[in-house]
Amino acid sequence: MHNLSDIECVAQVLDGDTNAFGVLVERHTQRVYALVAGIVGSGDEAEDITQEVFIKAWSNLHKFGHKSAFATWLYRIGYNTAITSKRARLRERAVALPRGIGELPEEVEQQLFTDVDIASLEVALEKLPPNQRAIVELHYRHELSLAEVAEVVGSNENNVKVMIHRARRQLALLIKRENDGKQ
Amino acid sequence: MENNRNIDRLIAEKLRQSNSPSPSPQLQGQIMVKVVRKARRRAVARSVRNVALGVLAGVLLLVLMGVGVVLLVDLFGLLPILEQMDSYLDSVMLTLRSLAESSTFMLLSFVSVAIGVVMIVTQLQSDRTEAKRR
Repeated sequence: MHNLSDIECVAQVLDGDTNAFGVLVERHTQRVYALVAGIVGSGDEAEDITQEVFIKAWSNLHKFGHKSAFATWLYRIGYNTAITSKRARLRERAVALPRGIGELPEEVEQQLFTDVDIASLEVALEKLPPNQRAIVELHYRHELSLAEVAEVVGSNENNVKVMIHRARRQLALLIKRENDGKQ
Repeated sequence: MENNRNIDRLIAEKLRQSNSPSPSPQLQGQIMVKVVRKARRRAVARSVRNVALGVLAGVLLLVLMGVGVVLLVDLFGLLPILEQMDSYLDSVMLTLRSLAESSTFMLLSFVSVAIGVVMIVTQLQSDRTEAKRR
């Protein structure tokens, strides 16, 4: 069973074999959880949302049209569920982001990202709005191509490129602000 | 352009070096418990629907057969001929009349419903056995 591809597992689940879904759960839980935790923060909420993602995937498996990889489809469900949950919480608590996007020259940005340690980068990442944070997670950490990220977030490649660019600048500004605060 | 690529590479390298958050070991089990429960519920709903459709089709078939018998009797003028026959045929006529008055249909409906209930129970038991096996 474990050497079956995702598509073969999906076919078996649709034929009524619940064990095949177990293989998909085993294969993708870690990455779906990492994506969800990247948006809502790790903990119980991320686990609840991960559960919800797999239940939704199971209930809607007949709608999986093989237009994209199963993992991409699953990420899309994860992204939408996590973003919806995060937005609901954000309505209660507004996040203040640094102003002045585009003020840092590329050389300065590059230097900032060269010098920054992983922990500070993670802290800055947590301060991004959920959709930007998700895109950064998907593209940089999960190594999805721009086209795959576009598929997950329901946008086109050019928009994703712009969003990544903005997120990167936002990150640079957050890191700079953190550095300035330390000095 | 070159700077952009370098920045992308730097971010990607640093994020991949960092440990991505991990769920608790029980999460996969919890997901599967919920999925199996949902699968059972779905299978039961499907069986009940199938059996209900079967019962409905059976009752409809009986009604159509009854109407058909009454129409045949009327169409070929069987009733007056039957009335002229001896007392033996009176019982046949009575049966036909009672059939036309649907009392027989009631009985047959009860029988078909009883068969339906037996079918539901059998189906549910076999589904449960199948779910347990999986």
